[in-house]
Amino acid sequence: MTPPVAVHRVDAQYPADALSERREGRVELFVTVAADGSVAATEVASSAGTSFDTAAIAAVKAWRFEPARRGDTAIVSRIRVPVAFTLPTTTPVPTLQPTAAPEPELDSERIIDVTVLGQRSKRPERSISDFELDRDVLTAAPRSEGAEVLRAAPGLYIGRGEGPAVAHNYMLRGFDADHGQDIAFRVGGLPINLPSHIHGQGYADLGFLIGDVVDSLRVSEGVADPRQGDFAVAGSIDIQLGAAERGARLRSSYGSFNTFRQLMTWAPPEAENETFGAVQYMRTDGFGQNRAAQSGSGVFQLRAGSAELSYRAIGIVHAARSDLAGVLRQGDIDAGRVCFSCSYEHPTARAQNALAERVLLGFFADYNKPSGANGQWGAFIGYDNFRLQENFTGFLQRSRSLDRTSGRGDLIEQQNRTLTFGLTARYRTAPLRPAAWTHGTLELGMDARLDLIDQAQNLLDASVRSQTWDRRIDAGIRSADLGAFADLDWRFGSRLRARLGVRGDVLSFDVDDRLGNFAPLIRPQDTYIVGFRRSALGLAAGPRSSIELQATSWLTLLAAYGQGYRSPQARLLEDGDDTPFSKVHSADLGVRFDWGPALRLTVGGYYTRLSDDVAFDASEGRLERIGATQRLGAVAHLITRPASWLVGSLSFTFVKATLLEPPPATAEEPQPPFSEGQSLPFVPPVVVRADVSARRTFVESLGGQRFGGRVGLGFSYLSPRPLPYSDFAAPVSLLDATAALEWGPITLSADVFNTLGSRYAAVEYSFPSDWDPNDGVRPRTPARHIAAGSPFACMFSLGVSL
Amino acid sequence: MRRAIMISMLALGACACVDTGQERVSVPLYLAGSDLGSPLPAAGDTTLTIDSAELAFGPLYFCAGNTAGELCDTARLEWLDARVIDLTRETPERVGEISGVSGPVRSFMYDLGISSQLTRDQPYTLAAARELDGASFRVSGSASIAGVELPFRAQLAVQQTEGTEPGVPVIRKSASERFSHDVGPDEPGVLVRFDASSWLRSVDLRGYFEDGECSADGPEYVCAGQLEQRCTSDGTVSETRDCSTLGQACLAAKGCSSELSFEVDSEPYRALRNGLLAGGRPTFEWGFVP
Repeated sequence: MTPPVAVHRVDAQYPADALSERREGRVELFVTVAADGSVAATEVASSAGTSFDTAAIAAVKAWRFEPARRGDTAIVSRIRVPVAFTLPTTTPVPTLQPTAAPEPELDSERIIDVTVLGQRSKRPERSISDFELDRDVLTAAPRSEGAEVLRAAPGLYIGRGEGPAVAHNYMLRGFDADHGQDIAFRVGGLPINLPSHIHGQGYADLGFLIGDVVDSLRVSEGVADPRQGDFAVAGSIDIQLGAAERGARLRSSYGSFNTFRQLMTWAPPEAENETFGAVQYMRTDGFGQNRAAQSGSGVFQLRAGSAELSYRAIGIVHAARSDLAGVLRQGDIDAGRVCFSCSYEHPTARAQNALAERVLLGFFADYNKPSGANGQWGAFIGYDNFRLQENFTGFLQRSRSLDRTSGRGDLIEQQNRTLTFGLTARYRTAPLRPAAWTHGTLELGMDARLDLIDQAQNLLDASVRSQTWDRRIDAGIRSADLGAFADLDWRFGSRLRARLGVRGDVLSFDVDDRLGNFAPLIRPQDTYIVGFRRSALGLAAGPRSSIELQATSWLTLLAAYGQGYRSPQARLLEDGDDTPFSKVHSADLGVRFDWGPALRLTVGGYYTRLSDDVAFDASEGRLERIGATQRLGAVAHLITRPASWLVGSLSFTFVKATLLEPPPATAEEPQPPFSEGQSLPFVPPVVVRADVSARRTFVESLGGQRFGGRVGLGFSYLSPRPLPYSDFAAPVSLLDATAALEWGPITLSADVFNTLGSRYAAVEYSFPSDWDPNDGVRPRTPARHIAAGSPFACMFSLGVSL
Repeated sequence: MRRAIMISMLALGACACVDTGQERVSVPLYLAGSDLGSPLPAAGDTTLTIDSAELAFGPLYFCAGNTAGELCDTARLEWLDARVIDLTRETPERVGEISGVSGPVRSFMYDLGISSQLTRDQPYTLAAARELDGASFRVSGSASIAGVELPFRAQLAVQQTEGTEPGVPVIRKSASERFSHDVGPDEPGVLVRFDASSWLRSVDLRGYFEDGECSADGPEYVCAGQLEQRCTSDGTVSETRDCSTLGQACLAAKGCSSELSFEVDSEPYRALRNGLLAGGRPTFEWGFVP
């Protein structure tokens, strides 16, 4: 792509008031250059005062450009134009119309930002905890799977405790988000979280993600943005897709544990970055016992249309199946009864496995007016099928359906099928300018979705062809979510920007609990018919606001506050529940230092309060409610690009997460122990992440082809995590490294994961279990359980661009 | 690596003030009997003198809820072993540690050496019960009734049966019992003391010393005082002998006997079993230090 080139410039008029006051200034403007080379719109990026701004805008509007081109096609673009007003060094001769001296040339180094309109334009950051990570940062470190691009996000830790067919475990901003309950995920504008999923509220499986077509990542921690809907409790993550490298590419990889991966991408050179297709197949024996897996994914996206009205279609298809090793008692590992990466010998342990299938289709239309007004509408449909067989507790369960039946193995089978229909729309006005010193825009938007969910949970006896020996859940759920927001984005002068937003969501639930009211010990079956249907509807609404003060061109202060929510697990609702949501209050404050591409530093603090949190219950294999919680923390994030071939990022996140009130009482625990300031278990107080990558050309032309190389490192550190009962998990340090040689269309690379060979637990729990059914008496007190993290591994890849 | 260590130290410093509420605890467990040296009045005019009394005790669980059993799938504290307690010995004996997590406990449940497990059709007999030849409780002594003194012994197994609740300990706190303690991280010890006298006082041996007459469908032996009368099938007396001259006592349906053994399902056997199951519970002394 070639940037626009100015072919006709008009000098700006030096403002009379500035001249008389002997003031100089430098204005930077965002200039939209139409495909015909005219100036379609201007916006002040860096102000030097109203008079200078007005003079610069007036002049630039008269400029003409050779437009930006992709190949031979003229395209709309947006560039950054600096205009400097400099007083002459000699004694000035007063003139009526002294002229400014704008920058004489418009070359590529002056263009700080070139955005091709019709594509996604970057949303400005709303808070200090808004991070936009581009592809070079995301791909600095090697990835064993696409979702690992998330590791570059400040304060985010992802782990794989249950194999490639089950969603990752996420931790962000002091939240143990389990499989996604506290983070709202979007990929290509498609919502990923599944409400009321049987394995975890807000279940978000990113196993379909192909890292080669991830263009950028927007991590919005906190809830300052009215576009953030359900599950945005810790924040939201928007993944934008695109293929920067055009053409067709094949890459085959093979490595440790008999892992094979085949990737194929195609991206028509004449099309936008957003137009591509990618398919990937993976199979592996997995490390240790019972971890074999296979998966296939396809991601397709097409952008078409004009700069003013463009369309985007996106499709995601994914299927994965994996065996699961399950969790092990730490005591059994320490005593040598089972090895760290093994699985228990019992059939009920060896029968653990998972299956995931998903199809997502979306269609979006974007329009951009030269006036600056823009909008989008979209529709999507999704189907998800999930089936999991997992045994956490060994042999503790007794049947609720069959008399005096117990000890057949706690192999929980969970099934969840979700059919989703959704609509989205938003409209942002053109800039409103009631006065010269103030302007802004208003955006209105809506999101709507309907989810049809069927779910079941049973106990299986793996020693007898997975006979079903208990039924625990059989339910159908119909949930609807209608959200609307308004967002006023207003500037006062050139330095102060305020965003005042509000969002409201109405959620309704219709639950057909086909095993509800089942109580064989209390009432004989023949006096009633089992089943319990109920419905609920509620509203969650709250402000989403922020203030930004640009103190200097390189120093910005931001403060943000918002109220968000998480919808409840529908099966836990009672008939007629009004406002059953978990409400979150989130506040951020901090500063951002921005020295262009060379260095960007963000430092800030945050506070989050959640009305009621949830935690994993191993006996049921799902999330159950605990009390209100709060998080108080700080984050520092640095991105540096000191040279065009070098990029690095470093983040440090600290959090103190505490329980504010005792967990709900139960018959088994009528007075849960609680002490003021009690820490939340499993949340690491400190998370550090570093990524660095260097790419150089060694020989410009070797046999007519460029010969170069790339190296990259990714380092994650989790401090000792508090566990229940004052235990502590050992700190985790993971270092991944990659090196590649590139010769023309051929790339040969080697990736090494967990280079330090750290032995760590991907997830940790604390609950009773009995894995020695024939040896004495069952234990009933909570014990530490772990799922092993992936050990040292390497992958070798050969890629060819066609 | 050095930087990682430094960060760890900083993080540990941050974690030093971390408190997740409960703590893992390990509390010394002591078991003891009580003074059974004095003759015990039992039902009727019976007096029991105890020579030995042993109880297979364990496993033991303390629970957070008010009701143990199926509502105690997660226990606060547990002792998975079983030991034989000399019920005549008052001096506490340390038998190990009861482990778990700190917090309030409001109920308890335990087995007597024979524990029903979810994964077994038959209850599991622990070593302590095997030491008592498969019994939970074993007692011997002498019984004195109506001027007759006779050695007695009894042993019984207390366990879940086909008709009771599988997978939970057989004895648990009843709803009417008061039991509450907040187990702290520095709990010095807990003493469980049994007083078998309440079980033994409920034993009624009078039935063994009742006089009878021969009848066509009656037992083979009847007693007339200390005279054993052997009965024929047509209800007449075929033979008579004086048990006292043999140094024995005449027991109904048994004739001259040198000792009294509680048979399974006999009234004294059931009385003892009920006493163990539902009668006098042990006392729990928290904070015990020997």
